[in-house]
Amino acid sequence: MSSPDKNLCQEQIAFQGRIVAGATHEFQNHLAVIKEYSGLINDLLNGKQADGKRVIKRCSEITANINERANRAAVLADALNRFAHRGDAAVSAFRINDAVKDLIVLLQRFASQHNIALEAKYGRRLAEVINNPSLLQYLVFLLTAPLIESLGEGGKVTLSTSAGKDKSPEIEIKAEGTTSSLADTGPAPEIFKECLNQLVGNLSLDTAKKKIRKYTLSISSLAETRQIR
Amino acid sequence: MSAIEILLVDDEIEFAETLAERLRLRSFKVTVVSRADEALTVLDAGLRPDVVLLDIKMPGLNGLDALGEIKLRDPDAEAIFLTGHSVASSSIEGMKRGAFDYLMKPIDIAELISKIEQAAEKRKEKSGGADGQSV
Repeated sequence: MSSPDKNLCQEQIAFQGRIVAGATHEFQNHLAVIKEYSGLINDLLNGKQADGKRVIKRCSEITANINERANRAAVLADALNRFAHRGDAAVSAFRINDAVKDLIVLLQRFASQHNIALEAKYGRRLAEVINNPSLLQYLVFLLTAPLIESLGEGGKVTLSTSAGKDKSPEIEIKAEGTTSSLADTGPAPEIFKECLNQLVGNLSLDTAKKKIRKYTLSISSLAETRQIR
Repeated sequence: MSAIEILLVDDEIEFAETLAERLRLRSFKVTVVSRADEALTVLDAGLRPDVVLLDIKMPGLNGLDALGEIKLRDPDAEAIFLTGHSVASSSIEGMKRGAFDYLMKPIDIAELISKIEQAAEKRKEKSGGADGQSV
């Protein structure tokens, strides 16, 4: 493995660790809420509440809330599972929208911790691409995370997918709000370069509008020739 | 003895409200806020809880830094961290900064109540009299 490849591999492992840590923390939160609801039902049923109808009504509300929490945890588990399997092969056929959707789910807590709205706009009828989905998610994260960290509270980051020129897929990452200077804590420039090289991609940055910072990332829809060495 | 008064600070509002409801059923007096700066506001307004239950990771001011601000306003304040972090380093840091104790989420209500009562007792002793009144 060449040095840029090795560094990239190490950075990707660190990224995967960060995603897993965030997701498991979120699972802990869901479980903590479900456990409190379950305890509350027990408290209400075993308590000395005079109003039986009120207890039934409250228990009914709580079970609906438990159901909603379990659904949210299931969505997170699905996204984490797909995220883990994206690395099964260096190159695979996938839909850009699916890769972005999973990343949005997995980064939601990270964004809410910074009081940033993280949203997505999905292009229609985007064809499947053959490329490295795991590496693409990593690169999108590399671009998105510093934006979330540098935006002031109440800012918004939007990931939009579309088909660019020659129908190759594009992801636009747009940050709106007051930004401080981007923290210089990310990986070295050669990591970006290596990602773009392996994805057969291009990256541009647009800061023409005040309070808007916009990256446009395009990748090849058929990158297998570069990927397989 | 009057009811133990608790200030519960957690950005996971469903967790906080449900835990508060359970504690109220056990005759604790509970105020819930979802951010550390809101906790400081209620303290500035004069609330002096016997125990502060504090999440560590919150938007804005985190729990560790909030504890320092709380102690500035109320040096006798006793805080228990409630954390979803499996790695204990943040909680240990919290203890170094003067927290009474910490619990991992999901929490055990009996264990929490036991710690709340111990923390309230410690505060009472520090304040020098029954129900936190100076003698």
